[in-house]
Amino acid sequence: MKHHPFSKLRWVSLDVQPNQLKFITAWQKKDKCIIEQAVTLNCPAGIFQEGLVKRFDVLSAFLAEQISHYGLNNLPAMINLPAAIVRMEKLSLPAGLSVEAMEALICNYVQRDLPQRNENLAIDFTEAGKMSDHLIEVSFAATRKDYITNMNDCITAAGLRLKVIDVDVHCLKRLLPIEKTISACLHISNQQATLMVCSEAEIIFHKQWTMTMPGNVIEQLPQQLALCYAALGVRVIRKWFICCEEKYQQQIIEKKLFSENELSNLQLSTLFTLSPSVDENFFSTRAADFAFACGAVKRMVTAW
Amino acid sequence: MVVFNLLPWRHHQKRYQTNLLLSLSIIACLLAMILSYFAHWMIQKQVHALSIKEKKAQAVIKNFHLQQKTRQEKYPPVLTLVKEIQQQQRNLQILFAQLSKENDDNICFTELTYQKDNIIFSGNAYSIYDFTLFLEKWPLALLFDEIKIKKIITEFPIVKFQFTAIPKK
Repeated sequence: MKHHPFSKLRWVSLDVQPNQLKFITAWQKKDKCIIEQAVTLNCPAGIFQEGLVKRFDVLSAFLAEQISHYGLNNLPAMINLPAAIVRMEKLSLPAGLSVEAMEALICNYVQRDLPQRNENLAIDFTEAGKMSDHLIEVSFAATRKDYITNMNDCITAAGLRLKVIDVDVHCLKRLLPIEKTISACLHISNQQATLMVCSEAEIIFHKQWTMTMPGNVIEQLPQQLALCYAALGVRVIRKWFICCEEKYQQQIIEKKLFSENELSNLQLSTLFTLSPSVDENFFSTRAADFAFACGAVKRMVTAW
Repeated sequence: MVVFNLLPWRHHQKRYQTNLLLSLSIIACLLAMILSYFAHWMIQKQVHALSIKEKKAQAVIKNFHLQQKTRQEKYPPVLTLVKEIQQQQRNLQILFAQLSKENDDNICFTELTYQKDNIIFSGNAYSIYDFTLFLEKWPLALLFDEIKIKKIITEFPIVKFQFTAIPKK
């Protein structure tokens, strides 16, 4: 989280995961990002269905109770969405178009593949590069607007000011050290695994899967890796970052899926400063649970 | 690196920038007004100080004029005085020139006293008749406005006389 002169310094980063709500509160002091609170809460039953929030009213009530309990009222907040419900792609567009025209073209492009063509979409895009004098390359993310609106209403009703809706794999990428070579990250938390391969500039491949039973995630890993290597083609992953509980780390090492010199443990405690109110032992053992929330607060926070 | 925010942040950004621009414009206007007011106040203060100085200077000048006027009233103008002195000098030169030409055997001037506004002539004559005749024909009488006989004393065989003549101005 980089400090903007006009922005509030203290932020809440929410990670709404199936059956669990995790949040951290962080603030900026010079170049350091200080984590003030790191909390994991079990959500009431019936909120989630197929990994997504279905009962926003229940979630809002639960969130309001927790926000009041932890004294987070009216703080700016950011959340992340699972990459599975966000379409992220690159698209070539004519150069010199207005923002509205670009948005309309992207919307039209995405809607072609949707079952209901007139479904409203929430889109964000950014110019990734110039392809020629007349064409630019645009990276975009699109998801169903209803979900975004419901989430915004839910969090606003709970007492926070939602400012950012990010994508979880982008949050994860922000935690990795910036390297010229291709690197990958395997994140396992709350019975969900995320595999993400990225270069310095972009996310090349990402995949998420859910454990059907404890330990199942490692069994599925070779299959997911095969998919990943197939998608990468000739490109080679130089570094693997693992962000998971120690038991999973042991299993991965035992399976010998990666060579030891290319394997590295993602240490969140080195990226952030913990305030005395956060239990260091708790945070280091459960760091994987807060990876997405921590990745979100590392983004540039703007005043709007 | 690509950063996404699926909330409609562009709308918020535009609104924020508009508000910021508006706020900055208002601040700039207020600042300009404050600076103008301050500059106006400073100039007004200086003008006021200068006007006080001017009033003081005018009072000094007025006082000087008054003093000059009083002095002029009290003392005649120097030029006039000089002219009068020069005139008196010329009159005296003429007087002495004429007196040196005087060739009357019956009259003899013994004393000539120059007073502030007049000249006192003292002398001897053979008789009052000679003295009267002399005064009637005295060409220097033209140089004087008024001639007053002060005393005539007969001391046999002569008559002593004294008269005052007021020179012309």
